[in-house]
Amino acid sequence: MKQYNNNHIIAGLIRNLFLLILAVSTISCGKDFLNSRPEGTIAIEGIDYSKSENIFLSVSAAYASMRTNNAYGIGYLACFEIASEDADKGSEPGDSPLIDEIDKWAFTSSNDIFNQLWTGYYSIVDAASFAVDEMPKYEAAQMNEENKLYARQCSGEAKVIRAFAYFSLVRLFGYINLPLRSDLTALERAALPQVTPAEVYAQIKKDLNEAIDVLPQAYGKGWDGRINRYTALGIKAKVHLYLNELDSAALCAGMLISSGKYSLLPSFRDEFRSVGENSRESVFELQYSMLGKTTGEAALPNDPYAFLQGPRGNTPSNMQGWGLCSPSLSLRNFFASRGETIRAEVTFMKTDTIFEGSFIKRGKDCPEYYNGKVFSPPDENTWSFNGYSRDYNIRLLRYADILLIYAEALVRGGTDINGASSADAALNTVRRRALLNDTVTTLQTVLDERRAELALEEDRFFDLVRQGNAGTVLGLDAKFSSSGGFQGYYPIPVKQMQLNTNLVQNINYR
Amino acid sequence: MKPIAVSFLVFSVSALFTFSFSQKVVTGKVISASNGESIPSAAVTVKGTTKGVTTDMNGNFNIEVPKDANQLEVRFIGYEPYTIALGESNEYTIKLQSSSISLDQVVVVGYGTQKSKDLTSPISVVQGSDLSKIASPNAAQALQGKVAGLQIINNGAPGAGATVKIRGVGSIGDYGQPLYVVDGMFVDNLDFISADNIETISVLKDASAAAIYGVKAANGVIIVTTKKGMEGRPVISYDGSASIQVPVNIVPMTNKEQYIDFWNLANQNAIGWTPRNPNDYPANTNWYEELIGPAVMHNHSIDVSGATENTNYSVGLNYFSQDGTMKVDNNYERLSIRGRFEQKAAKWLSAGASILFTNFKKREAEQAALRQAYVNPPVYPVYNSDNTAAYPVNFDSPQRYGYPNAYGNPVAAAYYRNNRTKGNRFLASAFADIDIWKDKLKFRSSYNVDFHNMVNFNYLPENFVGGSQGTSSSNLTEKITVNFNQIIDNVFTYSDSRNRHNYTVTLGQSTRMFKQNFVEGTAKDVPNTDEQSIYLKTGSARDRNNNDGAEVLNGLSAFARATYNYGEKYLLSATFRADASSKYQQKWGYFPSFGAGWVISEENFMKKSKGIDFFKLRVSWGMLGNDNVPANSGVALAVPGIGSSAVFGDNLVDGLGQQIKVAPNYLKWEVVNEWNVGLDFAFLNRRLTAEVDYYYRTTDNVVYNAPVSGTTDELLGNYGKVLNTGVEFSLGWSDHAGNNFSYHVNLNATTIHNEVLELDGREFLPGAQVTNGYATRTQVGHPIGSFYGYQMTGIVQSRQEGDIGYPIYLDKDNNGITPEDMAFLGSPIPYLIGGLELGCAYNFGKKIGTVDFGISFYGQAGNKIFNQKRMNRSVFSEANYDLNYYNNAYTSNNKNGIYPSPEAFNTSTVQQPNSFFVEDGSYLRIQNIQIGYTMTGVPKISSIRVYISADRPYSLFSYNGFSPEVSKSFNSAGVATGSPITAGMDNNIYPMSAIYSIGLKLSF
Repeated sequence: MKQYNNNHIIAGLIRNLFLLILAVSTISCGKDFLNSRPEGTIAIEGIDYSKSENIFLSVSAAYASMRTNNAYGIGYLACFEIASEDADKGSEPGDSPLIDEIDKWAFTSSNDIFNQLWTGYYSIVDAASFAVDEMPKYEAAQMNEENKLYARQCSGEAKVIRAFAYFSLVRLFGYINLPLRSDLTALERAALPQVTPAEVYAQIKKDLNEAIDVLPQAYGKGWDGRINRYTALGIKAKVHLYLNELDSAALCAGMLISSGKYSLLPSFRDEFRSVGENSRESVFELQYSMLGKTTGEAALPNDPYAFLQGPRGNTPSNMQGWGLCSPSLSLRNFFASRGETIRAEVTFMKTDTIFEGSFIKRGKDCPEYYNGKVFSPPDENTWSFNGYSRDYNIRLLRYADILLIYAEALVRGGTDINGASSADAALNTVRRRALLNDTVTTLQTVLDERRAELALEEDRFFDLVRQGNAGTVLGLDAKFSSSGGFQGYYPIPVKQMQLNTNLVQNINYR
Repeated sequence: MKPIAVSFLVFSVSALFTFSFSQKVVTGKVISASNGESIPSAAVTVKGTTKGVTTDMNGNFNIEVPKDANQLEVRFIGYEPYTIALGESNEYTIKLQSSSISLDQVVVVGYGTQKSKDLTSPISVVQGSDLSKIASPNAAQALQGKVAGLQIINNGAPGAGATVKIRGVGSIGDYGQPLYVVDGMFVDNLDFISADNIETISVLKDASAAAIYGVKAANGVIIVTTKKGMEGRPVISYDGSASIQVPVNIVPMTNKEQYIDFWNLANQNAIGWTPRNPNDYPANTNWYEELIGPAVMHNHSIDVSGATENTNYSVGLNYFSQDGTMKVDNNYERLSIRGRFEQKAAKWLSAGASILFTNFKKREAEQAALRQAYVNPPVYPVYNSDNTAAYPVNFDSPQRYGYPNAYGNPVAAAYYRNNRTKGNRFLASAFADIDIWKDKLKFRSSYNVDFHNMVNFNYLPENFVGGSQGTSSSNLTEKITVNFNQIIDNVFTYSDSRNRHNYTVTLGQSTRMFKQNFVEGTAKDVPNTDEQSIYLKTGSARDRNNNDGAEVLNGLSAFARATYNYGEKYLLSATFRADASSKYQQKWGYFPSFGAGWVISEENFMKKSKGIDFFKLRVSWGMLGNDNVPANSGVALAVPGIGSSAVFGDNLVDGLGQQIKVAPNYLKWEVVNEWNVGLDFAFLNRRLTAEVDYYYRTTDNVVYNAPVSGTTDELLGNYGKVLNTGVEFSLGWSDHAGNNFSYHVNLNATTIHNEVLELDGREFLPGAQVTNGYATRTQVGHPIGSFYGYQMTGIVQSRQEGDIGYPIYLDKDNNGITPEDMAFLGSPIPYLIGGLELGCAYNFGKKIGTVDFGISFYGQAGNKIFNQKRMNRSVFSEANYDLNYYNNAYTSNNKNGIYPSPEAFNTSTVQQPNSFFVEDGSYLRIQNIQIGYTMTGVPKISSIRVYISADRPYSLFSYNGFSPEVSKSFNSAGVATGSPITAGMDNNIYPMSAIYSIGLKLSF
């Protein structure tokens, strides 16, 4: 019996020992035992707003958000260019049926390309709104005035990025959501109201005006392609032209012209070569870079813009692409009728011939012509896989466009209160580089000039829409006769209508 | 509650070599309790020794017993062992109970054990010996069809695990896996455990049973106990099988002529179309035949176990090897060492440890090759010496025939990929049981570790096939993953009885610490001389990248359980668990449960009724939590990296983006509430047993990853409430005809009714993104993840109706086809799951032995499958067609065709969610057929069993896919992905195999 008692005591001791071990193990884990934040992450709350080097972080991410296939890949080519009369789907007959449907205007609102564009541009809006929302926190936390100013300036860049994304969205879909905050909950997003194009344009102009007030005229070395005041003015000029606000369009375009910072490159071809990237002609370019690497992560999406338009079925592998967005017979006839030489050579890459020193083989069942503007020579195509023209910067807005906006605004009756230039001067500057004779500016000569100069640069389709011509030129009025002719918008993606039941389908697609 | 099947194998007729120093002679007769017939060849041993005899043809025995022996044990196949306490008498009549019902069976419940007959909740027990009869890579696969309420969805890839669902789909998120507890350790799957290592599996199905595991138990608990020694002579056993796996139900595809015919029909109106001619193409290739064929599999286990009064041990070695059915180097190999040891160190202390060490090695085939086999046109050969650009092997390339880069030679894709994983898993636990007070108050402390690591080498050597298939510089990704998980449990148990009051109180505490780390690196230009050369450091110094990550999960719990019964007639139980988890923003959750049982057969009025042996009514209710969700997902994070960094010219500027572009959201506990009402019966001398349970289970604050409007993001949130309810039913009949023939039938069935009750004010949640829409919708009043889309009512036959050959969709509101015309098209959740098992055995007597036969069936009904494989034509517009489509498509030659024409098939009119893609997923399968022969009476060997078996030899289903078992959706590379909402989205392209085996079981 005594033995038993001893055991009992030992048992108690051991039990206490276990509890002790347990207690120690629990305490040693510290107070964060149950509050572990995900490993390898940075919490938004952890950002130090007092450090000036952090100011640009979220703006940088807003720029990066533009580099996506969703916003500037297949959908961009399909809905901004292939949908027009200037380009065909390209590739082989059976390839990419979703683009084919858009080429033929035989799509449904389920076509995923619309959803890709929608989410692509709203991702840019969200990233830009995050930066816009972050900047006041830096402004408040920064001590010196210079840094506060820098935060305001960065906020301007983000607003331009947001405005430009909305400019795409409103042209594509018209009646859309207008989220402006980065802290919306999922439920708030799903309940966003559908707004009218006028409301969207009002916001675009507000963002651009606020940006113009704070942006610098230029940046130092190493900041090629960064958004400055003229970028904002250039975009604003185009927005005003789309809204038929001719005085404002002329005023904004005129400010670029009179700034003396922009000019056309002497060679039309050079503008589309790598030497033309971020040149004096460049107002806004989407920057793609291989960062000097041949593999791994680079600053470009998987199937970038120019690669998608590369010649299909060509060899070697760094000289081939998907073969999309082929210049149409209509466009080639238009160039021929104008006697275009320089621009025709650059714009149309004919297969089974030598183009800029490289023989381009025509693929089986593939188009005869490709977009020559996005051509890049073999020695620049050093990426180890699918290497064709990967880091081609997308020319979103170039000075030639600004000159033509200026000319058009004036010839339509607008006035540039600064009198920066004249319609004829602006138009003929563009024509001279193309080795064409001077002409007298009429609305038709300017519009034709736009079609020739900006061919295959994703301008044409909405140019027709803007002029009210898309319905007749593309035969869409007949197609949509039951809903009163083409109204100028693509359908709201069905997926988005399922996610936000406030969205009502555009009139042509009901 | 009872073993689901009578095991023909659970027998250890001891070899009987008697060297007697006997002091007295005991005689007796062994008869069946159910029919009184005598039982010949039953083993009678002196307990704790090897001394024994067998009964004669009349069931009589005569044994010499040492004077100090006080117990005899009697065993016979199909009966519960019986122990005779030796008293004054030297003559006994022993009535053996059929083992199909064993009310005194001790059932492993969480943190303790209970007698089966005292349970108040449904707990199913499966014996390891039943599982090891099925030729399967792991224990989870072998469970299929054995337990009511358990749905197992298998996968055909080598070494692949199974998806396990208990009682329907409780969660909307992909977090519906049950908790697995292996000897006290929480693990995420059973892939690493051979069925041969398992003593028993307890399946805790309802909330009342599982509540003791609180936070982890929302989707049920599967408790695995590894083998331990039986008191008596040491047993040495060998268990082995060799199998051949034969791929079955491969979807037939069109041949060259059929394919070109349809290609022409699809593109005849396209710009630039010129008709293609099959004679222009050099081959007629069946890609699946080129890729897939029979493969071998074998499994060997050796176990030694034994026990004395104070020591109990069991050690084992298991080797398993499985070749994949792809005709390239793909296989899985696993070696495990198991040990379990328990010592009674003092009267008050026993301590023990168990380890399970597993080493595995696998080489995975490129599943993308199977996807390519599905889409690639049958028009070109595997090899072609004309393709001079290809190296090192002259594979032919689809690009040589004008196909886009998305198409690649399937055999080449499989041939070049070198994806090897090696890993070790070490599961160990040590425990001490302390008897604090006279067998009444006990304390158990245990420390459990699960340490596993894995090294994966994914290598693609330099090669070129054509188009973009190939790489000019080899590339290697090496990833090392280390997991270290620990659980510390401390449990007090007090049990006592006074008069007829029996009660047990358990109090415990548990601490969990789980951590996973990975480091990965990539390199280029890694030479392909041999395996030794395939390392990051042998690659080019340029273009090296690395990455890492970790996940930490911590948890703290306290729990209590009280059970009480009055004379084993009135039963009560209650549990309570408080859990804290680092995963949720709301840290603590509290989970109570209650249960009550009434053993009506113990009442006097029932005791008289003949034929009813046992009758129990149970009611239980409980609440459970679920922390099986991604950690801290509601937190808004900043995202560094190149995707968040602007580039100006070639100058990259570091940036920081926002991961979840919405406000941080507060994640609450997902909580299950479950009612269970059950009846247990035993009739006719326990020959007929039945168990019926009704369950009503709601899940609140369901955590679900919902797509966010206007983004490509998905966000976790507490989005609603879901109901699962149904009836589980098992029936067993076990009997003997004559002295030598025994047979049994087991049937189980489960009904599932799944319904979303609330969605947090939302009308619905879309899920399962497909190319042109959302294929599923989760909406109040419908099952989770129901298929949703247009309803195809026919095919346009005339110009007046529209484009000929296009589908006619139901226009509900007569305003053209708009999203409002979409409708619910069925659910991936079956409403009925069932299994049936038949077995019999004939004993030819002691000299010859016993022959047994068994067959089992498994099936489910009512579920739909979304045939997503067919929905690939937006990307693969020139893909091959499956033969079923070819035969049923509308064409000018087949105007009765019920499927859209080849031209329509390629458009987004068809390639969007609609009823054409939704098919019936019901199936019935022969799960296993087995014939075995057990020899007894062989000198020095206590038993030998040889058997042949066929697993899954035949399945009956109408679905146009490789298997009606669709667990998850697969991405284009064939990798399982996505949330459970995509449960019935079938993109699977890995065929299942029938397995034919021969096996041998020996014990000494």
